Amino acid sequence: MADELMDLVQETQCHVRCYIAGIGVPHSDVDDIAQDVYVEFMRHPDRCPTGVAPLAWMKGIARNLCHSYFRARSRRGAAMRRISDTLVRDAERTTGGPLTEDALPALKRCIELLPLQRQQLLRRYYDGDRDASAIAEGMNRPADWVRKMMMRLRLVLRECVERALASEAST
Amino acid sequence: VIRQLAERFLHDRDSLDEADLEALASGLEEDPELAGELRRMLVIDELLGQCLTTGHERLIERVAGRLTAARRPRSTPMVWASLAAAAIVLALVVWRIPRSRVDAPPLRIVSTGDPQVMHADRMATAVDRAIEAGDALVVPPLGALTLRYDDGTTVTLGGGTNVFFSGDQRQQKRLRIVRGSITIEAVPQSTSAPLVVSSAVAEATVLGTRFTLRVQGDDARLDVDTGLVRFAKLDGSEGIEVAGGRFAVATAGQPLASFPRTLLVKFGAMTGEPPSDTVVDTGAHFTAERGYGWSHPNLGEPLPGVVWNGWQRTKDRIPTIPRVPAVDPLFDTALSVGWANHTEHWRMRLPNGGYLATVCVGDALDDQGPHRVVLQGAVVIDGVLTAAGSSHQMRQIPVSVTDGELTMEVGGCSSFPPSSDGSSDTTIQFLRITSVP
Repeated sequence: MADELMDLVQETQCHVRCYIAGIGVPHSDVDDIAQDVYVEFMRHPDRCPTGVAPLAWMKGIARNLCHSYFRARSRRGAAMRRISDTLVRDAERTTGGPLTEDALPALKRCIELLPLQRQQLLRRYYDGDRDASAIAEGMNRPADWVRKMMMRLRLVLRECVERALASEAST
Repeated sequence: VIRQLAERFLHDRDSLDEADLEALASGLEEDPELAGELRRMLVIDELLGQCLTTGHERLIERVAGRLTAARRPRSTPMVWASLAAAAIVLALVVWRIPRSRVDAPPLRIVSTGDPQVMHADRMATAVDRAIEAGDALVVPPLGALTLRYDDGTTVTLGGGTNVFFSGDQRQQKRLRIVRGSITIEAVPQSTSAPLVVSSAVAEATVLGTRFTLRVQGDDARLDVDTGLVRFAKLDGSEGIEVAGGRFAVATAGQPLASFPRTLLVKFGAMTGEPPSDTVVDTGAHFTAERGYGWSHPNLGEPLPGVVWNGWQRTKDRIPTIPRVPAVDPLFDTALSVGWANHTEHWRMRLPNGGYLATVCVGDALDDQGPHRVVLQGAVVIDGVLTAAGSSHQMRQIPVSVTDGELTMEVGGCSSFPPSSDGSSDTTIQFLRITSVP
C-alpha cells in the first residue's frame, strides 16, 4: 500500500495542490485539504469508476471538500463559495491549458532568470509566513511596496512560464 | 475596482470584508476572463510555494500516518480483556523460551543526531525504535540517521532524506528512497532475499557491499565503494553490475552505464600500457560505441591561411612526438589541436551531475601555445604559453553535466602572441574528470 500511495502522491500532488489553491483555498489550508483528498481516495479506491483517471476523480473529491470547507466558514462562506464556483468553472473550461500544473521545471528556470535581489525577495516571502509587513520592516520599505513587487513578480513569472510551456508545446 | 479586489484576494485576503467578497464574486461571475486570470495567479502562487518552500513533500507521510491510524482497531473493554489474556499467555511463553530464540525486530534506529525524525504519523526520537512495515522516515536537511538490520547491515540516511519501508523487513529488506541519500554497509546477503533499495526510476540489489544511492531530481545515482551492486531501471531495460570505485546514474531515456569516479583522458599517443580507468584519445572522430571523440574525422583538409615552417597545416588533430627518454607518460605526449583562428570540439558521454575537471596543456619536446581550452562553456585556459621540456600548465574547474555530455572546445586563441616558433596550436596533454556527487 505504501508503494501505491507513494506513487500516487508523487505523480499527482502538484496537480491536486494547484487545483485546490486555484479554486481559492488559502495556502495555509491547501495541505490539509490535499491530505483529505488522498485519505478519501485511498480509503475508497473502488469508488473511482472504471475508465476515469484517478487524478480526475481526486479533483472531484477536492472540489467537494473545498465546498464543505467554504460552507464551514459561515461569515464569509457564501461569497467565498460563489468565488470558488466561478474559479472551478474556469478550471474545468481550461483543463489542459498552457498553465497547468506541469509548470514546475519551467518556473524554476524562470526564477533563475530574475535578478538575485528579486529571487531573494521571493524566497523570503514564500519560505516565511508570506507576511509582506514583516518583510517590509526588515527592508525598510512600506508593506505596500512588497505587495506590489510580489504582484509584479508573480505576473512576470506567470508570463515567463506560459511562454516556456507554449514554446515546448510547439516544438 | 474588481481588479483591485482580485489583487487583494491574492496577497491580503483577510483585509477583504464580506461586502468586498460579494462584490468580487459578482465581478468574477460577470468577467470570466478576470476569473481565469485570478485562477492562474493563484496557481502560480501555489507553484511558487512548492518551488521555494520545504515541507509539502511530507504530504506522503502525513497521509500514510492518517491511513495507518484509521486502520488501528478501536479499544473496547472486550478488546482490552482479550489483550490482557494474550499478554499473560505471551509472558508465560516468553519466560519458557530461551532469550536468543525471541524474534528480534529486524531493523532498528541505532543512532540519531536530530530529534525531528518523523516515523509515519508520530515522532521517532528514541534510539532502538523498531521499524515497521509501511513506516516512513524523513530526515531534516541538517540531520542524519543510522539504522541497523539484525544481520549487522547498516543503513545511514543523509540530511533531507525521505525513505519508505514498504514491507515486512523480516520477509525482505526493501527500502524506497523518495529524495536524499542512503549509504549502506551490507554483510553478504541471501541471494533469495537480498536487500533492495529502489527509487522512482531505478533499484539497486545489494549482494554484500558498501554503496550510496542518491535521488537527484528525476535521476538516481549509485556510488559503490566496495563489492558489487546490481543496478536496474524500473522501465524493464537491462540492468548492469556496478563494481567498487564506480558509479552509475539512472536517467530517463538514457541507457545505464557505469563509470569510474575518476576518469583520465590521455590525449596523444600513450607510451606504455594505459592504467585502469584511463582512455587514450589520439584525435579520432567521436563514435557512440567509444562514447568520446572529436566533432569531425581527420581528413587532411587544409586550414586556410595557416602555413607554418613551409607546411600547410590541416584541420587534423595530431599527436606530438614522445621525448626520448620518455618523461612521465602523463606529460610525455599531447595532442596538437586547433590554431589561433581555428577551434576543435570534443565531447564525452557522461552521466549528469557535478564533476571536478583538471586540464593539462604543454609539450615535452617544444615550446607551445598560446593554449586555449573551454570546458562546458567556461574558459579554463586562455593565452598560456608553455616551454619545451616537462613544463606544463594545469588548471582545475568544477563543471556540471546536465545533458549527458561533457563538451570541450580547444584552440582559437587569436588575441595572444604565438609561441617562440611562430605556431599557435594548443597541445592538450590530459583531462582528468572526478565525479563529485
